[in-house]
Amino acid sequence: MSGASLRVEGLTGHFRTRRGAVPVLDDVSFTARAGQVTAIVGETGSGKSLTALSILRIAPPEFVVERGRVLLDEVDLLTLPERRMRAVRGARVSMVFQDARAALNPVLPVGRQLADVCRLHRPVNRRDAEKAAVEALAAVQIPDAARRARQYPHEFSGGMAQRALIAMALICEPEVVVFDEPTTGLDVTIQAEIMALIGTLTAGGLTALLITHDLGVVAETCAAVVVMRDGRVVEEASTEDVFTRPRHPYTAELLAASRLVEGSLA
Amino acid sequence: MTAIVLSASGLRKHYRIGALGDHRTLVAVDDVDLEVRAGETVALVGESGSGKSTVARCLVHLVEPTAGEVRVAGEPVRARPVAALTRVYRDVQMVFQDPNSSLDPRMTVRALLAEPLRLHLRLRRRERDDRVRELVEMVGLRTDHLDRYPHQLSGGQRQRVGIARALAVRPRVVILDEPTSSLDVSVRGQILDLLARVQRELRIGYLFITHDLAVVRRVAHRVLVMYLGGIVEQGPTGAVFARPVHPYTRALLSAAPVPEWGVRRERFHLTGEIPSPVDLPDQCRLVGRCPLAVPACAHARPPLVPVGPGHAAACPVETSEPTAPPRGPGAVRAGAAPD
Amino acid sequence: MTLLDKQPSTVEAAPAPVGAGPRPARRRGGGSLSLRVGLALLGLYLLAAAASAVWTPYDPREVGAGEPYSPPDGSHWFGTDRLGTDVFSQVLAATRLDLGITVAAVALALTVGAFLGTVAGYYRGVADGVIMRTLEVLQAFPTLLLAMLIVQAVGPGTWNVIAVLAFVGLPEYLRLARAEILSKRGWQFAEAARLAGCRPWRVAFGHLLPNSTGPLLAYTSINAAWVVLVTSSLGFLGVGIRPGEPEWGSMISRGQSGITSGEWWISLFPGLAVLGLAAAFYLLGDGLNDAADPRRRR
Ligand SMILES: Nc1ncnc2c1ncn2[C@@H]1O[C@H](COP(=O)(O)OP(=O)(O)OP(=O)(O)O)[C@@H](O)[C@H]1O
Ligand SMILES: Nc1ncnc2c1ncn2[C@@H]1O[C@H](COP(=O)(O)OP(=O)(O)OP(=O)(O)O)[C@@H](O)[C@H]1O
Ligand code: SF4
Ligand SMILES: [Mg+2]
Ligand SMILES: [Mg+2]
Repeated sequence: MSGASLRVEGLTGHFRTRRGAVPVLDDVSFTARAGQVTAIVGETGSGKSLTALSILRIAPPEFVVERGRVLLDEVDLLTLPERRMRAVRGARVSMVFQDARAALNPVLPVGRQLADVCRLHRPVNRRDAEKAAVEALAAVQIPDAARRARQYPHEFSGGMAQRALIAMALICEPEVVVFDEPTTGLDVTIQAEIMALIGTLTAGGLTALLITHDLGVVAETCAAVVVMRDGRVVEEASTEDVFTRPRHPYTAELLAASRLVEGSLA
Repeated sequence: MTAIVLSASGLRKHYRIGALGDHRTLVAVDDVDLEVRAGETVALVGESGSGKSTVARCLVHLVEPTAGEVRVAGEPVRARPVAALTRVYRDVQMVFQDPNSSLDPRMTVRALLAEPLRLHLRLRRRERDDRVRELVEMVGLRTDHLDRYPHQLSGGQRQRVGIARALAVRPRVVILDEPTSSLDVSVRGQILDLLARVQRELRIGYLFITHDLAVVRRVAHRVLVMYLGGIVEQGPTGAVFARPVHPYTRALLSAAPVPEWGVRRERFHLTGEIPSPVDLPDQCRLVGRCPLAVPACAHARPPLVPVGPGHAAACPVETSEPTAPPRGPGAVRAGAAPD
Repeated sequence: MTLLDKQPSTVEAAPAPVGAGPRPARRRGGGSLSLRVGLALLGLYLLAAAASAVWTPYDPREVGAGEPYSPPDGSHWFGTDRLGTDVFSQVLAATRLDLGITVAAVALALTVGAFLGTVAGYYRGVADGVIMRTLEVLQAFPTLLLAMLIVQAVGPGTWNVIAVLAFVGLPEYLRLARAEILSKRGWQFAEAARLAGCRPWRVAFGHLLPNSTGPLLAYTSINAAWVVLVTSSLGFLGVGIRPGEPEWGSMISRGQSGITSGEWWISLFPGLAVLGLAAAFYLLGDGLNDAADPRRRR
């Protein structure tokens, strides 16, 4: 896996609604370096998911990008023809969605969906794709993966659906993966395993973008942090700097709040 | 003693899985007893897939339990007659784990919040409108979110709609299935404060399902720890966090990451594969993963044994050691080095 | 008639994931365009139907309004038929009957089919068993044949034809509604609705059915187009509508011999009327499907 760094430059956009334009992203810029986990943290509704969706060009159609660039190895994804973008999506850049269960098709077995994704980008036959699917499920700690692969999404627990989605994003061995709250709904032991898996993959050159609300995970696994608020990036720095020398008052507030929640733990 | 608002005894849920001719039984919930008192918050934590959501759904009879009895405010809950079950939902509400698929995609936030007010409380339109407005403000949304559809909200905003909807009818007990998982820490703090305030005012009981141990510490009076369908440890929050007894609880508590730079915890590691809840033998569910296992562990499923006031654990090895040193999951400063 | 016998069921799209999941790029603007064109076309037919009630250039039943077999010209826009009756007046007058039959039959089939399908899909059990077995027996017959047989049995008459067409179209609605409801009944918003105080029937009809209208509405257009064609087929074959009533199908039938001998206009214009109406319904269904879904609206 060769490393590819991802750079978002000046991404600005709004939603078209019946009551006019609602601005949501304002000059969002940051870099995710190859072989590292870069965290995006911030307020709920600050546009984190939307930024991720815009990188892959799968934001809802009513979202309008006014300007900005998304550079994957100096190629601007936003100006790529749709046909070439399709080849990038899933194969080079993929994403783990925030709503695990909603992102899985309720009427198809989970293994089948993974195999389909695999076959979309690779010249493999159905048998091999299905084998790859079972392996991918096992890699994200789903017990009894072969049997689970034949089940439907509603038969999975919340955390298992989440892990299945992670498996789906990783099945084509992409260079960049955007994880949108991948460990929400996972217990801490499995969360630790998943983060270790992401750690191993980044050590092998994967570029990971991790959207999360869990500052504990950020402190333990991320190299750099992007803090967003109200559609803007308010701070971008190394993890150490963010935790020890937060520059923006919102970052400080966020840290204080997380310590308050942790409060009695110390 | 305050009244028990929600209780379950001998709760079981089995699913038949597998293709025709290859039927297996998946034991999602295996003999769970629990109770929640008025004004009390009970946290239910545990491995992903251990059956927490299934317990929740059995408690409100969204799935029919295979065995066991559920009582809400002392009255047994039964699937029939349907009218009676619907009336029970006036007293017990639930916040669903997945805020996205639990909101009807064709309804606006306003309609979503008005529905329980109309059906349970039979409020008139005017009162409904006022109350809906109050509710969205209470959970920190703006009134211009009222006319949005769920797909026009962010994950955290949807989650707050789910919470507002459950609190709308002022129930006696609320089952919260990971209500704060997609909220940022500051909004999470606000929601937890809100829940606490409503609890004080209305003496609501909460069954709080979460993976976030910091939240458990902050809000729960008691903790139940689930592993593969069964409760392996329960007790007052302080006691369980200060002296976790069951090896799974210890592994869980020691795995929680700390939001500080350079702080590492001593991990208590479980080894091996996570077993699947299909055709389980009658033995401790942790056999095969537990570093403390002895041959006796494989003989029978250990029952919950008291280890302190209100504190019980299901592990004979640990509970028979009377002088076990306190094993708080204390954080140690270890520079930037990982463990 | 193989085309008519097999009602297409390709509208059965997999339920789209709810909300902000990976949304495939979808066609923009096309939805509202087909809605507008469909509406305009249907409006035209409605206008024609209304106008024909008060005015037609000639009496549509008048024999010898012009020379028999005169081709289209200034006084007879669509020409005249074997008896010299004005074709334009007949086509116009037939609109009322054909449109009325179509709308009534589709509405009836949709309502009853959606109702039964929802009951079968949500309550399962005995109701489902009875409904589905009956359906299987009915669907064993080719639909057009079934329609003809029943019309023959119950006798001619507008209301009988409507009832029969609805009855024959109903199984597909039932099947679609049942499949949709079945796939969604375990979804969490249905469970959440129970907790919000909805009785099961309200969950089924107030939450699940509105979320399942996509395939149903998409099918109405296909079904309506089919009903238009079958109504005229029944007319063409001389069963159903009382003879003598102006009806497109029977007009095509009567003019059929003329196609080879050069009197093309007698069949062509009612034929175009049939196709136009079928197209209007098709476009309308497509547009409505988009408009009914807030996730697709802008
Ligand atoms: N279709 C839409 N129309 C109008 N506004 C929308 C629409 N979809 C999303 N928004 C708004 O855009 C903003 C950004 O949403 P986004 O999902 O990116 O937030 P987020 O940072 O991922 O939040 P969270 O942490 O809660 O998931 C939110 O305030 C949301 O309300
Ligand atoms: N409808 C179903 N059919 C078959 N198996 C099911 C069904 N629903 C749940 N299960 C299984 O029951 C077990 C418990 O699931 P449950 O959703 O209760 O877990 P959970 O503790 O809530 O996990 P998480 O924290 O990941 O949400 C899982 O193994 C799951 O696969
Ligand atoms: S009973 Fe044995 S295997 Fe089970 S937790 Fe205790 S020591 Fe481990
Ligand atoms: Mg988000
Ligand atoms: Mg769950």
